[in-house]
Order: sequence, then C-alpha cells, then structure tokens
Amino acid sequence: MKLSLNWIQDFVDLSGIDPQEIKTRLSLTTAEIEGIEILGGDFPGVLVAEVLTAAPHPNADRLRLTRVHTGTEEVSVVCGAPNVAAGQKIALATVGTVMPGGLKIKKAKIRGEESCGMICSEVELGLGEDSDGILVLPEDAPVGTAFGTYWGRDVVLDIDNKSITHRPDLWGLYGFARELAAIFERPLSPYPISDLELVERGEVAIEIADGLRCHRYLGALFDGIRVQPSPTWMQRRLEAVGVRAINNIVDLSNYVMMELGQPTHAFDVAKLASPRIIVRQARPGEKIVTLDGIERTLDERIQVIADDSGAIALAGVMGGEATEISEGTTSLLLEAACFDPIVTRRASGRLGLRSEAVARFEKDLDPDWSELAVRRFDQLARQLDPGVRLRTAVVDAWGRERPATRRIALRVSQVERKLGVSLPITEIARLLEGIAFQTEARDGELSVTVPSFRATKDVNHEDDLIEEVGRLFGYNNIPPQIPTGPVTPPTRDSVHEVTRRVQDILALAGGYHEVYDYSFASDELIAVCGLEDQPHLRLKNSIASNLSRLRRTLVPGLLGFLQKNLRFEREFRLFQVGRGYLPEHANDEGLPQETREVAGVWCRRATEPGEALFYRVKGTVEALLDELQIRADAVDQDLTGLPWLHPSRSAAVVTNGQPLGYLGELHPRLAHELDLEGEAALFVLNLRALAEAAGQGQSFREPARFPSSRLDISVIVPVTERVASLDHSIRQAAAPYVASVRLFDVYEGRQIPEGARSLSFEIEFQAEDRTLTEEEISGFQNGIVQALEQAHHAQLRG
Amino acid sequence: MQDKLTQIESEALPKVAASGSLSALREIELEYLGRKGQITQILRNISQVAPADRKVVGQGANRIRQAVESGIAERRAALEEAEVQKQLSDPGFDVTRPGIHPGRGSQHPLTQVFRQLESIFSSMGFEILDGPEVETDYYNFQALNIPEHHPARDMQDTFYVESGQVLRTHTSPVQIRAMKERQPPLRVVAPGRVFRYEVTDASHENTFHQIEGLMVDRNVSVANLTGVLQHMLREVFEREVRVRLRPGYFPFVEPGFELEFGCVFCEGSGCKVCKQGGWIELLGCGLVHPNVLRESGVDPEEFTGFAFGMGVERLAMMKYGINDIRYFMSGDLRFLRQF
Repeated sequence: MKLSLNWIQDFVDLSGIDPQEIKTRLSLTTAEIEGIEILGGDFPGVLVAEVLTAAPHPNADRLRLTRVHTGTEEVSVVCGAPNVAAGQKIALATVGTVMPGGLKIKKAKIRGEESCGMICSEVELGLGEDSDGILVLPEDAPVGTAFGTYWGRDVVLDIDNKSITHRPDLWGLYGFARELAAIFERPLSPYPISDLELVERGEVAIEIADGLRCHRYLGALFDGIRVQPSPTWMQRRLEAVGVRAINNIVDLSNYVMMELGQPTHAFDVAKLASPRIIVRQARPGEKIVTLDGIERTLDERIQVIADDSGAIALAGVMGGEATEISEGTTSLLLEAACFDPIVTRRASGRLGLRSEAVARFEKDLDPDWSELAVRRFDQLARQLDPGVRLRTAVVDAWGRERPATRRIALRVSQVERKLGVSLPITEIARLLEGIAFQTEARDGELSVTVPSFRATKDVNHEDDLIEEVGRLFGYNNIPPQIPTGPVTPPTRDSVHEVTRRVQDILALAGGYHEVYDYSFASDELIAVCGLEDQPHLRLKNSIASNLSRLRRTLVPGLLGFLQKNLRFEREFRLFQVGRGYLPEHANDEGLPQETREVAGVWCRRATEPGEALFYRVKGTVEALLDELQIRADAVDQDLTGLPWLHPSRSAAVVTNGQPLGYLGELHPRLAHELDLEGEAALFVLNLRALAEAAGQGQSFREPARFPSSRLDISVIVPVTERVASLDHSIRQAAAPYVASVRLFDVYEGRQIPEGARSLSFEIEFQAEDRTLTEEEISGFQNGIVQALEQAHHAQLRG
Repeated sequence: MQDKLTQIESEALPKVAASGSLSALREIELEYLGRKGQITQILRNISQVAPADRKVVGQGANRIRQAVESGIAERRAALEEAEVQKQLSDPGFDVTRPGIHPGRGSQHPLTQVFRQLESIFSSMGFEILDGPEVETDYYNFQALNIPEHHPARDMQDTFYVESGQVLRTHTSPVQIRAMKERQPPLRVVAPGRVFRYEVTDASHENTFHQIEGLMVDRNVSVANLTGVLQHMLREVFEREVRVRLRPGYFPFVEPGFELEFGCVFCEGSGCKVCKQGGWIELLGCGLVHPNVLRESGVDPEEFTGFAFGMGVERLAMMKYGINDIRYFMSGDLRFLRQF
C-alpha cells in the first residue's frame, strides 16, 4: 500500500518534519516501509505553455509544427505526438533544459523547420508511464508558470502489506494519519463526512438472506450523475497511491477506499432489473461476467449481490459488467457493505480473483465504516459536482447485531512484566488515547475502550493493549536485559551429538566435503535409482512437475551432484546428513517416518588410477565407526532392495546383528545412465542406529607386559576365498595367542595361477603371562598353515 | 720396527688429511687403529721387540697413535661439519612448491553457522531440540494461532502433502511440541529445515533453514528478548552490536517484532549490505501469544515467554559475503571448498 504524504496532510499537519524522519518513526512504531518515492520535483527549464497553432509539418507526415506561447514569447516547436492540438495547455521544456533522462534540449532544425524546445509527455518528465502522447494540462493551468511550481511535489511511502495484515484500520490513509498524529503529537482532523439520514427501508429494498454471513449493507441512490474525468488533483492523488484514474464515479469510489479503507461499489441504476437488492449465496452453476470481462461460474459457497434477474456482483470481490457505470449513467446505487472476511477470502480463493476490495474485506472491517464511506462519498460527490443529489434516505440493512463496545482491563503490573520497563498509569493512558482508545483509571488498572475499527479482531485482550503501549512508548526505549533466574543444564540429544561427530570425522579426517540438498527427489533420479516402485511422499503442489516427490534416502540427490563436479575435479568425496521420508511408516499423528541418514560418496574420473573405490569407502566407514567406538562388520548380504549398488561389490554394515547401513560401488548401469565419466562408491549409515551403538565397549586394557612376536605368512588361495574367513581360521588355529592379523599385501598376476591370488598376513602372537618361545611360534605357524590348507585350499607361497 | 714406525708416521697423517669422506676416514682409521691395524699390531707385538728397544718403540708407537687418533678426530669433525654445510646448502630446494595435503574436506557453511549458534545458546542454558519436517496443519498453523482462512497463511506459501500434511513453513511448530512435552521454565532452540512454495532467485529459496528460540518463565519480558538476541549477535560478529525492534506481525506472538541490528559492515553509515539504511533486518520475534501458551498447556497468567525464528542462510550470507542463496544447495565443490 502506498501513502501520499500530501494526501495524509489533509488530516494531520506534518510540516517541518523531514520525510526520512517520518519513514523511520513510522517503521519503528507502526508498519514496515519498503521504500520512499519523491513525485514531481523542480523541473528547471520546464514551463506551463499554451499551444497556439498546430499544423502538419511540411516535410514529415508524422510530425506537427506548432506555435507555442510561453507567457513571455512565442516560439516554434516541432512535435511528434498525435494528440497535440491548438488551445492545449502543455509542459514545454525550453532550450537548455536537461530532462530527467539526461537529454539536453537544444535549438534545432528538424526536417528543415526550426524547433525551440520540446512538448513533454509524462514519461519524459518522469511522472508516469503514459508515453502515448504529450501531457495535456487542465485548461486553468497558468501559462508562463514554472512547471514544477504548478505540478507540485509529493512524497510517497510504500508500505509492506504483510506488516499490516492484522490492522484493518491501516488499509486506508486516514488510519496512517492517526498513527502519525500520535507519533508526532500533532492534532488529527476529524474524518470529513456529510450528514445523512439512514432508514431501514427506502426506495431500494435491501435484503440480506437469512443466516448469511454478511454484517451490514448500505445502499444509497444518487441522481444527477454526469460521468466525466475527475479533477486533476484527484487523478494525481490516485496515481500517487498506484490507482489508475478511470472516471469521476469509479475514481470517487476508489478515493474513499484508499482514504478510509472501505471499498464501495456503484451500480448503474438504469441497468438494474429491479429496485430490490439481495445479498445471498450463489446458486450452483450461476454465472456472472465480472468487470474484468471474464465469465465466472459460481457455487453456493460464494456470496453474490443480486437483483431480480440474478447475480450482479460478487460480494466483496468484484462488480459485474452488466451493471457497470458508463458514460450514459445518470443515477447510481452506491453499495457500502461489511462483508465477512472468511467468506470473501474463500470466494477469492475459489475464483482465483484478488482485488483491492478482497485485500480489505479479508482483514475484517469495522461495520461503522460502511456508513462513513457513504457519507464521505456523498460529501465529496457534491463538492465535485453540486448537481449530484441523494434521492432518498440511505437504506441500512444489518445481517447481524451491531457489535458491542469492547472494554478490556489493563493492569499496569502486566505492562511492566511483559515489556520489562515500568510506566506510570498516566503515561499508559496518554499513549492509548493518542490512537483513539478511551481509558478510565482505577486501582492500578485501566479500563480501556477499544475503538470499533480496532475491535474486529485486532485488539481482543490485555496483551494486545500492551503491544500498543509498547510500540507507542518505543520498544527501543526499553534497555536490553539478559534473563536471570535458575537455569537447568540442557540435556543433549544423542542423535544430534552423533551427527556432529560424524560431520567432524568425515570433513576433518576423512577429506569429505559436506553438501546440502533439497528434500525433493527428481523423477529422473528416482527412475535411475530404480525406486519407481517404492512409496514416496507426494506433494499436492510442487515447484516443478518432476519434483513432486520427497526423497526416501539421500542417495539419489547425492548421485545428482557427481557429474557436475567431475567436470572440474579428478577425484572428490562428498557427504550429506539429512532426512528421508517414509510414508509407509506413519506415526500416531499421521506423519511419515523421517529417517536420519549420513551418506557419503567417493567419485573419480575413469582415467584416474587407484584402488577399487569399494575399499576407499569401506576404509572411511571403518575409520568412522572406530572413532565412534562401534564394533561392526561389513557382511555380504542380499542388498537387492538397493538397486544402485554393484551386486558383488557391496556389503551391509552390521553391529551385534543390528543393521547400521551399507556401502558399495555404484552399479555400472547407473553410472552409464547418469552419464558419469567416472566411477563412484558410496555408503549410507543410519544416524539413529549409530547413536544407539556409539561408545559401546569403551574400556581400558593394560598394554601387554611381555614382548609379542610377529610372523609373516603368504599363501596362494582361490579368488573366491574371503579374507575374513582366513582371518578367522588364523585366529582359531593359534587361539588364544593371536593378538592381531593384518593383511599387508594382495597380489594377482605373474607366478600366481589363474583364478587364485596371493595374500600376505602379518600375525602378531602374544601371551599375557610370558614371552612366547621360538618353538611355540613355529608350532603356531605349522598349525596355521595346516588350517589354511585344509579350510581354504591354500598353498604356502615360497 | 723403527723403520716401520717412521713410515707410518710419514704416511698416516697425510692420508687422514687427504680423506674426502667419513667412510674413507673410517677405512684409514681401521687401517692404522683397528683391531688388525698397523699401529695396533705394533703395540700388540711389542713383546717381540728387543728389550733394549722396547721402551723407545713403545713410546714412539703410542705417540704416533695419539697423533693419528687426534688427526682422525679433527678430520672427522671437519668432514661432519662439511656434511652439515652441504645439507644446508641446497640451492635446488624450492620452498614455494605446494605442500602435500592430507586430503582436507569441509563442513557446509550452514553447518558452521548452526554450530556457532547452538554453542552460543547452549552457553545460555538453551536445550537443542528438533521436530518433524513434515508437519500437521495443527502444529504448523492452528496451534500457532493461525486458523484456517487466516490471511497470515498467505504470508507463508505452503507445500501441501497429498495425505493432508504440510512441509513445515517455519521451525515454530517445535515451540508447541516443546511446551507440550516439557514443563516451564524452559529454554530451547530448534535448528532445522523449512520450506516455502515460492520461486527461487538470488535471495529466495524454496528450502532453507531456521533456528527457533523459545524461553518461557515466570517473568520473561521484551527486555529479555533483546538482551538474549543482542548477546547472540555480539558472539556471532565478535563485537558490540546495537539492536532495535520494529513492530512486526506474526500471529503466534503478541507483541510481535522484526529485530534489526546496526550494520556491522559500515558501522551504520550506509553500505550495500544494509541497503544504505544502517540497519539490517534479521529475524521475527515477540512474546509468545497467550493463545499459543494456552494451546500448549501453559497458563499465560503464570508464565510469559519470548520466541524468535531466524533465517540461517541470511546470517551465513552476511557472515561470508555470499551473494546468492542458491549456492547453499548447489553441491558445487568450487563453493564448498571455500569453507
């Protein structure tokens, strides 16, 4: 919403206050201001002038040759606008003027004719967007006056509408005038209205259908209407606040709306089918063509204004085309109503039709405003055209009881408790009275009467009054204070803690870069990952048609990051912590289960040499689990439910029979479908499971007192033999003296038969109570070799 | 024997002096002084020398041995020094070559900002909580004093799930969950992800992060709210920061505010970050609305509270000078490596 300070000064004198100061104080007290705009200006060199003659240019079809009087001299000006005509008052930029756009006006010959100046359009003066022709000034514009002096200057504040959602009284300039009067302690003029008689029944019958949610509806019949452009000052004000001038009737209605905040609507009486107006539900399938020329089909949840022929307007939303004011209108029926906020908002939503009226009605307007609007309209209409007259008394229909005056008790102690500053009761009363609340003091309490325009939903209880006191006193006059009082040491959430540690380990020790990704999974990645058949949480409204599902796991998103980074990097590691959403596991509240995952990926270009990536991510997972003191194994399990994994290069991660997650290389088919010019391996661990398992078995073991012995054994085994089972056999064969088994070399190739490989282990033997003898060690060696030969087809390598 | 000694005397020291390396010197040492060295042999076989000559030969041999020993020690010291000097003089060694990295990773800038905030609030006794990202309409709106058809629902364009829930539009539902599960007094913060159904551009995202704060106690006031938030900003920016409140409308607080802080980049004189205004809008906050307290089972006559919700991306963008919010979700290593 825009505020013209010139217009506001009809109601409160702000002279001597810098507009920046107004902006700051208003934004600290009342509403957010998005911008400040200066309209008009000095326009040095531009004069109000008169066109004496306008004739076709002898050498150019599209140009006209004019003689213009500037008040002191007569000059020739070539003009390109089609609408220039003799007798017009115009704005002439004289020779030497620099236009707002930077153009300098020079004396010139245009197609052989002399031109001493430029007749300006709105755009050229920076006053508006109309570039169709020159700006034609009213007939009474004084020739020879500096244009800047004539046009005047205005400051417009642009209010952030979101910040006044709860303040119906601020949807008109008068409400802001009231705030400014309170802020700067200047008097507020009463709202200018005429005296009118209200009756329940008149020449127009108004009915509000039974049980309908419409609070009040006033109808006023005006005769003597002459539809014509409104006076310049009114057009100028409307334009300043962003409303396009149309004709005097529509402009007047808009003027009252922008000023008071109450929408009104004018029907052409000649186009009404009956002198009877009904506010009722629309009938299912009922149709109306609205003012924007669109035919709309209605249903019973939408309220309409109807005459005997059917709907003529959508209540609170928009008027109908059939009864629109037009050039020939001589009598009008003015509607000023108080429609229900929810009904209006719902209708607007169902029809997809927003309007200035909807924006106001949905805020819950004061029923008293309907009457004020009619009285202001009447007053202004007669001021503009003394021929206008009210035919009969104004008909006033109520759809419900007039709301009772609201009184709220305000305890001075509560003001101090909530604001953290002590204010005397007289000061509290003064602040509230400044914005039209009435107060009465007794026993440390104020009985506060809420003005009707704040009582619809905005101010309901004591806290609302404390807010008014606080903002008018100035929140910034309250000194900040660190809270005192007992503090319970916060407990720590184990999942949160383990997440932090995982982030530290992976980023700081593991060399992984942390990414954040959207919770939406694209159709493409879901398909590539083979998750099409799995249940996904679906959105009713998505930002793109391929992003209507929420991820079940972090994997698809992580895979989506690979190729774009591979363009710049030879090899990299990424990880992410986040949630997957499983709709098939809903809780008591109907909410999907949200898993907590950490997922990491190691990716490198196909051209980069190195170990199988499986062992890279396995190393990462081992280091991570080690750091978290979790004993777990990677086991060969059926992971067919995870189709992105290489079927034989993947493993489940298990601790005490409980799954923690899995790891493995990316299925080569996926790499192909992702256009990945490289390979990748990934791991996924469940953070809740990690939190549960973390820290198990953390206790000190005294270092051995006796020296240990080491032995290297190399065996050749078939490639199908698994290191884990060899490890197991070694430990069994020399139990309980094997302290550690370390695989230090794997070799396939020359000197090793096809289908076999050489594995080299370093075995450490240790007894707790003595130093093992060479005989004992050699006994272990024989036992181990024998066990490997028997159980694993091993052959000792020379 | 005498001749032999004379020969040794004339040969050994020049040899020592001429030796070019520690290993050559060691050879010479062995040749004369080793177990089978020439001087050692003479001394060992002294009994075979005629008794009359024995004294002279013995003294001569010992003198020569000492001379050779000290000659070798001196030469060794010189050679060792030369070795050190040689190691010190290495014109080919290039200290400007890049170091060998242990393979550093990085934490996302938002993680870093979250951590800092969490530790600031933890130090003030705030507990860290979280809540579901897919929320019920009740927790996201109704319990927060935003009934159906409330115009405030327009302020937060919402993603709706087919089964009727919403993607939470703010972290505020955690306020309700916290109050329902715990008895006041309480101090909690809830970091987390939120969603808005809107078009993305350099300063708008459909997915972003907030940290919610809630403190409920017997006499929590506006002054406490500004006190806590001023302390937070002081810690984040590591300097004194001015704060101010503007009225702001959020249905779940009364009164409601926008908190602004004095621009730390230009000290208030006006710059790009504060859009020349000298103040930066940071977050929405207020005293918890009595309806919200009541809905959560807290008696508003006994307890008051403050709440705030802060956008973490905004803070991170200011802190690091990031000019486009979309970088955070880009997964682009050229961005991530900088943190």
